[in-house]
Amino acid sequence: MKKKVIVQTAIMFGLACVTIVYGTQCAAMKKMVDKVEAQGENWDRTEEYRAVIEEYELMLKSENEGFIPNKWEYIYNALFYIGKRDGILYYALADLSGDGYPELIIGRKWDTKNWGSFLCEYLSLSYREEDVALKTVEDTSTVRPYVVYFWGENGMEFCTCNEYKMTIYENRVIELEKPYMRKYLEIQQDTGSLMCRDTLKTIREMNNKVAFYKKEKNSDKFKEIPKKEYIESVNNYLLDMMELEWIAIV
Amino acid sequence: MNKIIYCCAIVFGIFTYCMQPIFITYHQKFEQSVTGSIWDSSKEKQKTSSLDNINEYSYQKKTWVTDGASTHGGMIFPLSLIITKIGDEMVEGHVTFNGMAEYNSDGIWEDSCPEFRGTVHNNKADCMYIDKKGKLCSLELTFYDEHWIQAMIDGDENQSYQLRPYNVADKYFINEPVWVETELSGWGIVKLFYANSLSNHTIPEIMLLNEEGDILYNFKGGTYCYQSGSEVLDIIVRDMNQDGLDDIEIITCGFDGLGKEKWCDEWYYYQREDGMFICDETGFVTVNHEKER
Repeated sequence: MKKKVIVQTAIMFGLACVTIVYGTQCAAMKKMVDKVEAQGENWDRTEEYRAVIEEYELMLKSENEGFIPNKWEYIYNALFYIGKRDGILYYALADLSGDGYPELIIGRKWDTKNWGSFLCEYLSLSYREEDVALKTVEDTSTVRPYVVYFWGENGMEFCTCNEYKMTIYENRVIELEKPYMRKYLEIQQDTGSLMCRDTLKTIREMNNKVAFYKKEKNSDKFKEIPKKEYIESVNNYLLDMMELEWIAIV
Repeated sequence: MNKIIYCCAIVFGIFTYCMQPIFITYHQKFEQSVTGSIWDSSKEKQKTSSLDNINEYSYQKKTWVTDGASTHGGMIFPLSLIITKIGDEMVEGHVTFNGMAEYNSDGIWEDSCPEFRGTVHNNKADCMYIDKKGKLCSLELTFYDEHWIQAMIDGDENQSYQLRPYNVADKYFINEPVWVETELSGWGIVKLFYANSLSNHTIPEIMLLNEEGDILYNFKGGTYCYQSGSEVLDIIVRDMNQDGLDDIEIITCGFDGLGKEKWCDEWYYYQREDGMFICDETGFVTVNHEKER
């Protein structure tokens, strides 16, 4: 009799353990399936980006003077210092990949002094001289994009301008520009990955001659190109700037 | 009979309670594996490392600047420091705030760049320095790897800064830079780099870099500084004063529109035992080719 009870109890105990482990697994599986389904159908990415925006809000209110990497999950370190200095940052949502879902763009206040080292008064003469044949794009922006958060193959990824000036054009091309260097990026519609379509640079020699270069596909090497090809390549990308509705983060 | 069932129920209850944390951890791990993103990889950076398995030159000689916080063309940082000596459980260097720590070509540090000293234990250094007002302050350094030091002032987390080495990529140049690998006594194999700064008053920028482009020394041209519009004609590495240490001779020239040099300056940098270079102003020579003709 005792033996029977012990065996029954052991079976019950075993079943209970299996139920707990299976149940836990199922809960996780269900969450995962829900998420995958949501991504495919009615997934609202703005919810995913909310955490990013909230962390920027928290950062602006924090007393930290320096960036502590372990403390922040989404904050980009350069925007930490810009936000602390300006006291305000901005965000906008726009579909840059063309897949029908928005990407999150965090921006900063903008005026000519933000150009920093490469648009100082004394530089304006040498810089742009070779770019005179480029299209002129009207730029009345008071906020400038700094980081684009997008949903790529590995989850949330970001593209930042760093020392470059970022411009997003109507053709969804992201331009990163700094003295003598221009990069044109695009978030691919099907995979969500960030692709560099072109990198172009100019080098001013000491004899004041300017040489033009284009990065070769799938290589780190630059090939010298004629000035005409450089101008055509850049002009292909220069459309009107994308109109972004900026919302303040304070 | 009832007692046995009662006991089993209690044992089961205790077992379930004890196993709960394990189930939760398992659950979380499973969750992480299905919702992984780039942010997970950045967290891996948080791993600490010991100084024992890192070459001391990983930290020494580099100019450490606040990551992500450059202003005024990357010349002003909330916190910047240079470690001049590290090892045997001690560390020495110079720190500056709202600027950039820099060697002077006369070998004397600016007042705005006070000295700090401290002891190293595992991957941490507890240091002290005296600020401008004469107040004794503490500086805690945590060495993560050759790209990352965390610095904290007076134990205040609100004054904690992530530092990275100042790199040649932080600077802009008007022409294609020249990189030459050279072996310097006291330094080992380094890259000798030169190019002209991006400016209408462009001057030569001559530096020693490591493999990754981190700036180890900047030959700034002494009191007179390089003439605007001039560029490097040649750099010669040799032991000029016969002290067993390699010195550097730099020749800069102004050119006419046809690439012919009009005048040239010679700059002599003598290496000290601590690896720094002193620009010998007395050895400064200007040769005016126009006059010679």
